[in-house]
Amino acid sequence: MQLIYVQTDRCLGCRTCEIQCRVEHAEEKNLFAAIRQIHPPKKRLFIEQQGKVKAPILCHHCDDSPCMAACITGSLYRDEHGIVQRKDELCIGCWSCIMACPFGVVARDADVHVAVKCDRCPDREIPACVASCPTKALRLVDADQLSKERRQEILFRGSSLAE
Amino acid sequence: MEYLIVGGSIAAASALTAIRKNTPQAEVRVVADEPVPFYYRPLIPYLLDGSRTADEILFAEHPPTVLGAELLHDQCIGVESKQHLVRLRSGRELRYGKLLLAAGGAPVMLLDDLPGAKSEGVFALRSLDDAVKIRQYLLHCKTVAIIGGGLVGIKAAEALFRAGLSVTVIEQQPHILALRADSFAADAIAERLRSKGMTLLTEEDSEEIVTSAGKVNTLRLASGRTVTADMVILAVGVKPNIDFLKNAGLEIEHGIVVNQQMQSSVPDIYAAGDLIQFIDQADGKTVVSGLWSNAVHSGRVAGCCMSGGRAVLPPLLSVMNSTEIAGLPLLSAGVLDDPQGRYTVFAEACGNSYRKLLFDQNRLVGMIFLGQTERAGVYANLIRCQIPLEKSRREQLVREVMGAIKRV
Repeated sequence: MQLIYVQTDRCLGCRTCEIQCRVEHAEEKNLFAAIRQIHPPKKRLFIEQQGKVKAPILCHHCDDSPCMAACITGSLYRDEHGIVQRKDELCIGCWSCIMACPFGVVARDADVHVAVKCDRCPDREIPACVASCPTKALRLVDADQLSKERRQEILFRGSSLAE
Repeated sequence: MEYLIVGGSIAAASALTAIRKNTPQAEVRVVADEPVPFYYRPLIPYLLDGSRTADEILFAEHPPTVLGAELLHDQCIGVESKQHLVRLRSGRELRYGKLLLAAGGAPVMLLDDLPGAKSEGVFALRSLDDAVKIRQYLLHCKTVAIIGGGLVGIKAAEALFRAGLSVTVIEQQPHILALRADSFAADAIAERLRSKGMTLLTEEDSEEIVTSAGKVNTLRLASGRTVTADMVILAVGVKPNIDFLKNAGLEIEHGIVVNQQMQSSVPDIYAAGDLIQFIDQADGKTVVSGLWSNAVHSGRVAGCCMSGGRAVLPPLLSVMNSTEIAGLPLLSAGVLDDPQGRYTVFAEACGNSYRKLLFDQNRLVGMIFLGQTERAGVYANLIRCQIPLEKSRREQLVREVMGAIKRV
């Protein structure tokens, strides 16, 4: 399964990902139409800051997802790619998923009265946040590939020390 | 090994899913007393005004069909644990290898001795069938009295109000939603409901349901007041459905006593959902609760452990509710009020928003968010997992929550 990996040391907190997330979830996928929509689209990831560290916080599509366990309407489900998705028409806006998410990444769209969360951009190969990040702080990676990368990194450091 | 599940709702469904993960082939039977497919019970108030139909609240995939289990629409009336046997209402007896009790809750019928409680036009609201009956009956009604101002009562009141009835809610406690909100939040909600045109009476006891020609006509209260009502709905509360277990030899206090693997005190009998008791992580009390997510978790753990897997019950709360009433989201978790002055309480109200945090020394133990939902889950999980917070972290939390009534 692919994960969105955040390298916090690269994040400037520029919020490009937040904007592109909104644009991607607009009716017409461009900024000018998005801001003029009657109910502007909501973002599904959140830049947060603690001290000097900034980072986007986004849905982990948890294996044992508390939002799905809390959903009382069957609106939240896991699709064939392992992504936790929502069926709009079933959501009644009870916000149980917001209450359940320990990461705080399910948001309330009060205008249309549904909960919104990351859907990994089903219309795109690379999610909008990842594609737009100017510093590549966000990357779409394979979990196994990531472990391999980290091992290689350690090896690289070791070998450069030896030299 | 034969598995038998008594119960036809979400705890049974999650247990069945978990059992199937471990044992794709084993024989599983489900005994459910309601003669309908699995449905999302919290949605039944939405049937009253027709905003959902009965078909729309069914599970998209019927668990017994998808997961391959035999479903019997029957009622369990007794368990013979020594013979590994369950007796059913129809007279049938079923043997089991492992038994899961997930029969849920039953509406409290405290009011059975209320004169007139058996007459035509008096309903409970617990099952799909109840909701369908109310929906049919309300076509002949103009006024309705709802006894009980808890979540079910208020949800029913809103639905019936939308359906065009004149609604009166009667609550014994000084404020509505006694288990889901403190007096400030409850009063704010009550105010909004009243301004829409509903009547809410608090600190009132029902004394008699007056009938005319066998049908409900008026509700007489202990204070002498009378409420005109063509229909009365009892929404007093729910208790664990454990009466049928009297002779089973299970240890039962408030609910069935289970360990972290959901095993009861009798070998090969497990329990999950609304009928178990567990420890509330907020205040350490032993409680029973009817929360959907608790039923999902306990059902999953029971199913997993029954079929040879390993799992433990995650920390749970008896109050971890989220709902929208009168157009305002109300999210509450843990301890909601502090009459004895045990906790450090922070609260702030502004316009339609109200936020409250309660700390017990270095732990967050309670929260109420009214009108705003932002990051509520983060705080609820601090309570649920009993995360210790340093002073600086606590101060920051309070600043985050109190300082920012509207964050964009």
